[in-house]
Amino acid sequence: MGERFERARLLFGQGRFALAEKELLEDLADDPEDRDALALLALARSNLGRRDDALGAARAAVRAAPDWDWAHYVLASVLYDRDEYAEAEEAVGEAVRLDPEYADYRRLQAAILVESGEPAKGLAAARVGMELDPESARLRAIEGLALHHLNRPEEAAHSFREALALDPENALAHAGLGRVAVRTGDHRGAEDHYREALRANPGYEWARAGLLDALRARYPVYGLLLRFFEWMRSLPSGARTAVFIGIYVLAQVARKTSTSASGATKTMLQAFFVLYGVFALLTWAADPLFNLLLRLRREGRLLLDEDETKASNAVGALLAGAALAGVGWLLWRRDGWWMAALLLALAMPSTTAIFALRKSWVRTGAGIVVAGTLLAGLSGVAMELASGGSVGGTLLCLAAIVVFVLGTWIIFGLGLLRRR
Amino acid sequence: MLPADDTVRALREALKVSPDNLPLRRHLAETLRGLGRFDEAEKEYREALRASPRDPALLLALGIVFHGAGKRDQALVVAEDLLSRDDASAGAHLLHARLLLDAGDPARAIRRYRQALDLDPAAADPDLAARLGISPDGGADADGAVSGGRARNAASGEPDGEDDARSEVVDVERPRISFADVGGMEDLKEDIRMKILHPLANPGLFKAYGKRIGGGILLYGPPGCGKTHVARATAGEVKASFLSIGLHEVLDMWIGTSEKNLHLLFDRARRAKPCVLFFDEVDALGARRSDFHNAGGRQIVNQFLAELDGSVGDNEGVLVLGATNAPWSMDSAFRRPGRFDRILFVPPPDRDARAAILRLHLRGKPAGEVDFAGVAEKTAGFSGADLMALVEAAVEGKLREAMRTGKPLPIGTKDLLAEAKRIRPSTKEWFATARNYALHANESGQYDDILKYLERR
Ligand SMILES: Nc1ncnc2c1ncn2[C@@H]1O[C@H](COP(=O)(O)OP(=O)(O)O)[C@@H](O)[C@H]1O
Repeated sequence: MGERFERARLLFGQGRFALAEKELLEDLADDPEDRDALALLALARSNLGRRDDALGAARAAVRAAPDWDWAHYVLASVLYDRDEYAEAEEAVGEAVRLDPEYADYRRLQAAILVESGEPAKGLAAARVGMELDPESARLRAIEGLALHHLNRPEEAAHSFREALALDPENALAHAGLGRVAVRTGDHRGAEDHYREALRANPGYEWARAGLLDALRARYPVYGLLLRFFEWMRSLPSGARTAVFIGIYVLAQVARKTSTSASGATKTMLQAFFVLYGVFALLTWAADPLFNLLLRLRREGRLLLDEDETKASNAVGALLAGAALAGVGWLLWRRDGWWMAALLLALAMPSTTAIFALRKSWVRTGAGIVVAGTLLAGLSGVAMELASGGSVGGTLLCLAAIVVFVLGTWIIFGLGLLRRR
Repeated sequence: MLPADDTVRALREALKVSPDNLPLRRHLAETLRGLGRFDEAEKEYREALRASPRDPALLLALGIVFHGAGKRDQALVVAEDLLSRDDASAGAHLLHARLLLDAGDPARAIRRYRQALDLDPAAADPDLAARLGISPDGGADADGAVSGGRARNAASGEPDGEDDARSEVVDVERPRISFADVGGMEDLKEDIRMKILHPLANPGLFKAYGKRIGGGILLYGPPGCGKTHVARATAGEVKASFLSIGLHEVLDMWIGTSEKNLHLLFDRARRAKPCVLFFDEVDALGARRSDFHNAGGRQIVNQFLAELDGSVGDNEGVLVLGATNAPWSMDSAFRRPGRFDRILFVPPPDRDARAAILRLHLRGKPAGEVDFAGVAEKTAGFSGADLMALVEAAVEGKLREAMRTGKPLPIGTKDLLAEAKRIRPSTKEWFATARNYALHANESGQYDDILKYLERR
């Protein structure tokens, strides 16, 4: 290890990743196979958010030193960062095989397993690590996370507290306690835990998202919604599907009966439908809508990032438009008005989804589709209102509505956009 | 600060918990070495080498420990092993030079010493040089008659025997710019006048009101927004000399673990007083303890703090300014009274400042009528450096056009606005990070200025 590598290591330690990368590249110009330089290069790029370049360097490190446990560990953490869990699991397995005694490898292994939806295996890995290194706060926090995913909140909280006894600054443990508090409906408590997590690690995205949840839960409607999500999450996946199918069947039955039902029952069923629709919309567009409320407060304004602010503007505008159109319908009773209201309301979930996507061509493309659909639908409405019953206009608007409904189902139904 | 024994104990405890933490073990070994506890240090280095057997830095350290413990033969084996490699470091050459000298072979020792300097001029070691009877930079004798032609003590011109070659890598400047050359930033200038310049000019008055003089001032803010520029202008404003230490020099100190250089630097500033001693990217010097990757680091930090609060030299007439983009990664020890106890936020240039900066950078370039206020309006969030890049890009564009058409045209508002659309303001990213710290880790309101700025936007 030469002086240049030493310099790179210092720069890396100071968080100057771009400068560290520069030194390392110079180092590698002399010796392209330098395993230490390659591994550190991968980590530096990962920290710079350059995931593809990081992967390239990590693979090169493994190629240069296939028997070196650290290279496999670095590869695993780069893959983990890219959400490529299967490969990450394989890589960390190799690191563990080469050095079974190193507790930190078990920690990454546990984290990968938990994230990839195998919390039981993750728990086992964390516990092996804890045997190797009983004083590790990070391992204990991962144990807690695994337990949380296994729906064992009390034990999870216990692990998080133990982690904090070992290291009061462990941000994962603080956030984990916040998560458990949300699970048990203690939103005020969650707020405090998330704040602690952020104090310990101000850039911690999971904790920021959690704090936002907790702050929105100060509004009772959102609190209820959050409880519903938590309840759904606590169900085994089979039961979750059953709930969806049950609601669907119920709605079908209700519709059948409503056609034959008499006055009072009919009104009640209609009210049920409206409520159900509002609820369904809320589950998809609640975050940006309640962010609108959060923005009334200084902390909320500062806490939301740019995309969240934009999303709340857009969804808020759609909601306002839908409400105005609804008023229009009440006043003039023309079909165009309720169609407009429905169109604007149904555009909300897709709009939410777009701002939650990472900036890329996919997002740009989806944005164009949503905007185009909305425009088409609105021109249909305009035709309908102008001519007083244009078939073409109605069809155009209905087509746009169908696109939005399908889009919502595709995005959320297929889990393309996981709610955190 | 921890007494040495506590440090060692704490490190040993930490190692018990994670025995495979190589940097930690390295840190312990280097601490022991610094304390002259060579046998213990040797044990730790050997342990570390088990994990990474061919690590030249570890091997070199082991060799130095052997030398310190008087185990010459073993030290020689290590040194020769290291020198047999293609990438032998300056340190390995130095160790070998020492061993040769001890073995009574000064001629070869001198050769080795010079080879070390060829590899890295910063490796100069005045003590060894004196024993070898040459000047530290490898010249023929110790009297400075042959000193490699390096400009000595650029500020005062006085010859200086004790100064070592390294502290002279940095030149003392006499800045010609003053606050008039800093566009906009009126609040900051006023702050500096009040907190720095007036106390410097009327020490008696400020003492009478119980205000301390001394200590340093920390400027923080997004990169490229004029921290260095303001520091230099501050020196110019009071006609003080200006000594600027950058990241490069700081890293060299870390790698060489040479707290002595730091002392020489401060002494140099003291002799050039009134002087503004400016540390750019000062967080590199005072990273938080958890960020430590190098053993000698603590010594450097301690030395720096001792110099800063004046406990190892009289700082009257010396103003220490530090700049950082990452104040949150600085050890809190740096903020104590008598150290960097005044902290100023240097925000991105406001509209007036942007207009002034654009005007400054267009000076001497073929520009037509330019609506500076208009361009400034459209460049919110641009740093001074971004604006400089903008002007450069506009010049280049015009040049290319002139080559094509054969008709040189002056730069106009339109060209600048076009570039402004293309260039992404660089301060956004900084604020994304800064916002998190200001929101969640704002102990005693130290980042209130950031929040205020964010809300005004
Ligand atoms: N207020 C200002 N007036 C004139 N030039 C400025 C101003 N702010 C920044 N600059 C210019 O921008 C460039 C970057 O500034 P610098 O002081 O190096 O930034 P920092 O030290 O904050 O990273 C310099 O060339 C400087 O001349």
